[in-house]
Amino acid sequence: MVETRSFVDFSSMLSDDMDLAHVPPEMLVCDALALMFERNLTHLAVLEDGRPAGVFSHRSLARHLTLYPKTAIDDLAVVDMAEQVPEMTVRSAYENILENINRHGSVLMTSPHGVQAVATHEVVAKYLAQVARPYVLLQEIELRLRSVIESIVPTGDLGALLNTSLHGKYESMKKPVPNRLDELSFEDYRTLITNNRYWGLFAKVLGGPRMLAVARLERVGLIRNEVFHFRGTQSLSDFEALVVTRDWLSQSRLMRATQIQETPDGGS
Amino acid sequence: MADRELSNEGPDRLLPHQRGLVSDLLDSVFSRTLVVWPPGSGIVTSLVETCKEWLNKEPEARILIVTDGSLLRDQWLNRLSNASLPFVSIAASDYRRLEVDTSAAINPWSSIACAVTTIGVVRESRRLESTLQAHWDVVIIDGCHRPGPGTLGALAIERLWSHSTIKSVVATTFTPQTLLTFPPHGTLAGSCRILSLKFEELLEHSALTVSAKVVKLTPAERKLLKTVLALVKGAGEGGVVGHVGSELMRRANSSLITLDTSLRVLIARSELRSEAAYEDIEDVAPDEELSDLPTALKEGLFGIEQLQGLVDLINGVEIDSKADALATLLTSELPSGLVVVFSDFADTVTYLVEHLRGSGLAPFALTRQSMPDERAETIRAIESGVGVVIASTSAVQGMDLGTASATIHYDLPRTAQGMVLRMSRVNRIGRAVGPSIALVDEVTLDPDLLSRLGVSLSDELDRH
Repeated sequence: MVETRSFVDFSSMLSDDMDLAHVPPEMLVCDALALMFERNLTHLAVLEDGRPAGVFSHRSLARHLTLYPKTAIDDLAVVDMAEQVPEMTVRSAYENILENINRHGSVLMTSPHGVQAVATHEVVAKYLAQVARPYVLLQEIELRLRSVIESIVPTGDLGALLNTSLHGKYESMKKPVPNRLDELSFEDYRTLITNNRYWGLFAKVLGGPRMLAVARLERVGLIRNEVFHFRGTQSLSDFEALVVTRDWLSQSRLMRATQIQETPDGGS
Repeated sequence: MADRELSNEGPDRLLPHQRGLVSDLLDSVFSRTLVVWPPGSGIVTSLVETCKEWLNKEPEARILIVTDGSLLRDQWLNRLSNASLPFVSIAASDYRRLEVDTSAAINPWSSIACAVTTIGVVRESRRLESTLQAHWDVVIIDGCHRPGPGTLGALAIERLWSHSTIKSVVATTFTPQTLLTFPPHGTLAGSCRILSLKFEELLEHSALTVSAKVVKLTPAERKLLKTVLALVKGAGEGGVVGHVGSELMRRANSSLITLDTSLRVLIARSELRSEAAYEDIEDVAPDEELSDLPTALKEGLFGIEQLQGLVDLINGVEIDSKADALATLLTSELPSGLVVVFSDFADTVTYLVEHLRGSGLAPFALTRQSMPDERAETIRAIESGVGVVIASTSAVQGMDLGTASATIHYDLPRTAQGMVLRMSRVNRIGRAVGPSIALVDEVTLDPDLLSRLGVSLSDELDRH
């Protein structure tokens, strides 16, 4: 029987080290705000004997003060200002959870054993930013590689360079060698730039021994494979490798070379 | 050849001290056991065998294995799966699903008989309570010394150790220091025992002798390394700055790419001088960290211009003499068989693999970033006992590299314990070992470090 359960559920969106921030109903609003400021929190679950009694948040405070503008909050407890938000589980469809977060500002993720987390836009944004980060870095690297080639190789010579570097690969695939840069794969960029024959050209702006460029781009290639084939998660060192390669490709003399290339003949 | 194979589970393949541990643990007189064994003595192999015996005797037994992190958890799971034992892996996200899928009256752990999880999962208060109440027959805590004193992790371990509903607890450590902080002397002292294996016993069967070969450098390389040296000396020798300096030296000692990567990371970070940027640095993985750098950078002890100057010097280096020396060693000086090259840095591993390919070799890479198919291919090479494996120290933890005919330390760890962590993968008890060579350069060569690591220095320079 085919498994129908989603591979991405809300449990994946909650980080492993995420602790539930919760307070008792009688906690004074001022104390709760101090706690939120201290721990950089926007939402607190209000729990009474482990059971949910609402969510206290910047939003619930704003809502209360809008409805009752003359309220003095000194003696008020969080339960007076807590909002009732939907309770859902990590097994709920994440589209529904997102819809409820949009509507109510937060959702309490519960289980028969108690509240597990307060799901907010921040939780979702953090997850999405984490998921998107390698793709964005890889996009930057690939576009910068393209830009490096464009800045070094005169348009008229590109076809010959591509043909020399990539002929073997494309012949074995029985395909014609691309003649435009945006038709190349990451591996094609790597092969072209680190080709022994042309390294002298690229070394002028990339600097360093060829092997350093080869190793750096190979590491990016490995990470790229891992990212696009959804194999595991990326380590901090993977991210550092991507950031370093991106910055290496945009170092100052490279930028200067690009600018020179872009300056029209006879420019001031 | 049987004892040289990678997977050596099964009572017939256990070494005498490992068989002794299995038999001790099966003896049910003691309910709490602290095992203090040095790395490389095969503790995981022995514990997997013990689990097998327990489950053979009592198929319904409930066993929980708690490790320090997800990497170790996955390594345990692989070993258990190779031994055909029915363990499941439980991460925090799995546990949240378990909680949702079980009613309040039922412990979420109840549907699982044998599990491998991490301290990070069980330390959270509600999860800890349900873990304690889950009526485990055996709880194995691998690396009980890892969480710092007073942390939630340490507290969770202490409670697991002393909880009365858990019939048997086995905690492991490789540092005898644990004896000073671990709580075996508490209420359960009467039924607690400590099983120690002295490092000397391990040494008796091993040959931890490493000899250094000194690599001659080109003028551009000498200039680069002398500049690093001057920067480090200028920054002083003690405290934070001295530590940061020695880290930079270590990286310079490893490879151009590792130094270049670290310098670029430093430049990027020092340009982001906001508090938030420094907080992020705290998350750096242990094998990649330049600890104390935030303080050094905040205090302006290293200028961006100095760091950028080093990057420019790297760009001026055309020949990598150390990498060339490695290629020469591998192609003409070492006996055939399996050669394992160690580095502390993943960047260096990737770089060397590419460099050696240029020399006509086909090395295998092993880092924590290796993809499963690459890793499987490397393991096949290790099992066959032929080839060149370039491995980061952290990636080989828990592995048996006893098939190696020679080892090369492309860079050196900073402590003797770091050296033991590497050599223990290769120098397995009861097996012959081949030559072990450390590659050092003439500029950053540190006789004190070599002496601390037990590395003997050859008088002759390796001119090539």
